Amino acid sequence: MVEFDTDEKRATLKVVYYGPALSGKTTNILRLHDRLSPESRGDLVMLDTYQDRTLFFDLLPFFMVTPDGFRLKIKVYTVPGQVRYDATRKTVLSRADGVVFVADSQISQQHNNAESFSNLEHNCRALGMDLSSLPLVVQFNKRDLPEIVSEKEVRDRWSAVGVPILLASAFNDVGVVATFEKVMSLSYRACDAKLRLTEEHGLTEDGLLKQLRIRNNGSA
Amino acid sequence: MDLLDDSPDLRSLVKESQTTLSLVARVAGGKVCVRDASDEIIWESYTENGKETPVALLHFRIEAEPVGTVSARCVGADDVTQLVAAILDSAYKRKLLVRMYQEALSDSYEGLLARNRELTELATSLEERVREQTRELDEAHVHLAREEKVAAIGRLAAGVAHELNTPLACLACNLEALTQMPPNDEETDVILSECVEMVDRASRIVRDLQGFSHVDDLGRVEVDLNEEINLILGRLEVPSTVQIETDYGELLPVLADGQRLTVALLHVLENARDAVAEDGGKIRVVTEVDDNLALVLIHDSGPGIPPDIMGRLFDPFFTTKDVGQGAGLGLTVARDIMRAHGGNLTLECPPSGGTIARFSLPVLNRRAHLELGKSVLG
Repeated sequence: MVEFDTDEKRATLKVVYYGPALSGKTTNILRLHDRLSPESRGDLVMLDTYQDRTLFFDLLPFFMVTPDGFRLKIKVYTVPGQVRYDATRKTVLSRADGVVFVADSQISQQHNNAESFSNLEHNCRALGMDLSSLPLVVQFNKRDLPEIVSEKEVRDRWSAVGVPILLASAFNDVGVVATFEKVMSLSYRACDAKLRLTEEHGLTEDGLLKQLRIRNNGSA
Repeated sequence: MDLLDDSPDLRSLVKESQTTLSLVARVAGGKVCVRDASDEIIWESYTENGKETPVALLHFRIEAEPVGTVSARCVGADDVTQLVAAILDSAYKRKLLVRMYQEALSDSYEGLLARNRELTELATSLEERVREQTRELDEAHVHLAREEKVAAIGRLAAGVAHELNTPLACLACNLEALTQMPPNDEETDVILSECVEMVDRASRIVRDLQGFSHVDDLGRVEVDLNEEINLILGRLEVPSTVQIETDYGELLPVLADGQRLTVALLHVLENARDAVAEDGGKIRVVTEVDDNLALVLIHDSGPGIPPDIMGRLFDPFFTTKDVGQGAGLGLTVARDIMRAHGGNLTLECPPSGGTIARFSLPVLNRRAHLELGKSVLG
C-alpha cells in the first residue's frame, strides 16, 4: 500500500512490473527512463544482473513536489522473472499500489504467461493483497515478433477479466508509455481518496501524468 | 512492513562510506563536504573557521529526491564531487540490496518454518493413525484367534464324537449279537475279533488325540533317521501292487522324540500308500542333507492334491477319506510334531505328478553332538 506520512507531508507509490522471464519487463523501464521527464525521474537503479537477466530487481524512481509542498515519490520496480527467484519476487511485490503484468505475445510462451500469472495470484494471496481490487494492467509485449497470439484472441481471452489490455513492443518503444500512464492513472484513483491528492494538495490525475510525461511527443 | 519503501537516507550512506570519503579528500588534497537538504553539514574532511567557498557543488539525489549537496575545493573539484556522489550511490545500492536480501531470506526462512510445521504435524498424525490401525488390527486378531479356537474345539468334539461313534456302534451291535448266540458258535470268533478291531480303532483315535494335545512334551534322544524309516517301512502294510524305493543319504543324527517322529512319518507314509494303493504305483523315500537340515522326502506317484484343498490340508479334522477311514488329524499332528522339533513338514505337487511330503529337521552340529555324548557318559 501507499506509504504516506501526513506529518512529513510525503508519500511513496509503488508500481511493480511482473511477468514471466524474458517478457521484457526491464526493457519497459529502460524505455521509460529514456522517455519520461528528467525533471522528476531519477537514475535507473539496476541491481546485479547475471548474463543480462535481472537477479534482484530494477528500480526507476520519480519524485515530485505539489504546489503546497507535498512530496510524492513513485518507485517503479521490475521483479526477476525466473521461477527460482520467487522470494525476491514476493518481496518486491509486497505492498504494491499498482501492477503491470508484462506477457510475452509469442504463441510458444503462453504457458509461461499463465504460470507467471498464477504465481502473481499466489503471491498476492500470500501477501494479503487482493488482486481483484489492485490496480492491474496487462501488457502483451513483443507485438513485433512473428508467431504471436492474435489481438482478437488476446482481447477475447482477457475481456472477461475486466483489466485493461495494452499491446506493446517495448524493444521498439511502442506502447511503453501508454502502459505506464494507464497503471499510474489507476493507481492515482486508488489512492487519491486516502492521500487527498486533488482536494488538499492540488495534484490532479492529469497534473501527475503531466509531471511524469515525456520529453518528446513520441509515437506512443 | 515493506523494507524497500524505507529508503536509506543520506546520513546513513555517508556513515557507511566515511573511510572512503576521507581517502578521497586526502588524495584530492583539499576540502570535501557533504550537506543535507537544509544545508547542515553531515560530513567534512576538516573543519574550517568561517564560511568556505566551494569550487564545485553537486546536488545529490536519492531515488530522484534531492537530499543534499556534495562540495569540494581542490584541484579537479568537479571530478572529486562526482567521485563522492558515486561512492554514496554505491553505498545506497548496497544498502538496498542487503535489505532486499534480508527480506527475501527471512521470507524464505519463514516459509521453511511453516512447511516444517506442516510436515511435523503430518508425521505426528500419521504415526498416530498407524498406531490406531495397529491397535484395531491387534484387537481383530485377538478376536479372530478366540473365535478360531472355539471353532476348533467344536470341530474337535464333533470329529471325536463321529469317529468314536462308529466303532462303538459296531461294538454294541456285535455284543448284542453275541448275547443271542449259542455259546461256542463258530461265528463267535469272527465277531469277537471284529470287536477287538473296533476297540483298537477307538483307542487309536484316543492316541491320536493325545498326540494332538501333547506334542510339546518331547523326550529327545539321538535318532538315526535312515534306521528309523527302515523300521517304519517294515511295519507298514503295503499291497503287492505298490513298489517302495529308498535312497538314503549320509545323515548326521538328529535329536528327537523317536516315538513321535515315528508317528509323524507313519502318518505321511500311510497317506502315500493310500494314494497309490488302488491303481498300484511307487513310493520313493529319499533322505539328504541340506545345509544344517536333515530332509526326508516321501514322493508318491498318486493323483496329487487338488489345488482347491491345498490350503486346508493341515486343518484339524480335514480329511478326504471316507467316514471311518481317517479322523483328519494325521497331517495336523505330523506337522505339529515336526515343528515341536524345530523342523517342518510341507506338501507339494510337482508338475511331474504325485505328491512330495518334505520333512525337515535340524541336524546336530558337531559341538552339540559332543555335548550330548558328554551328558550321556555322565
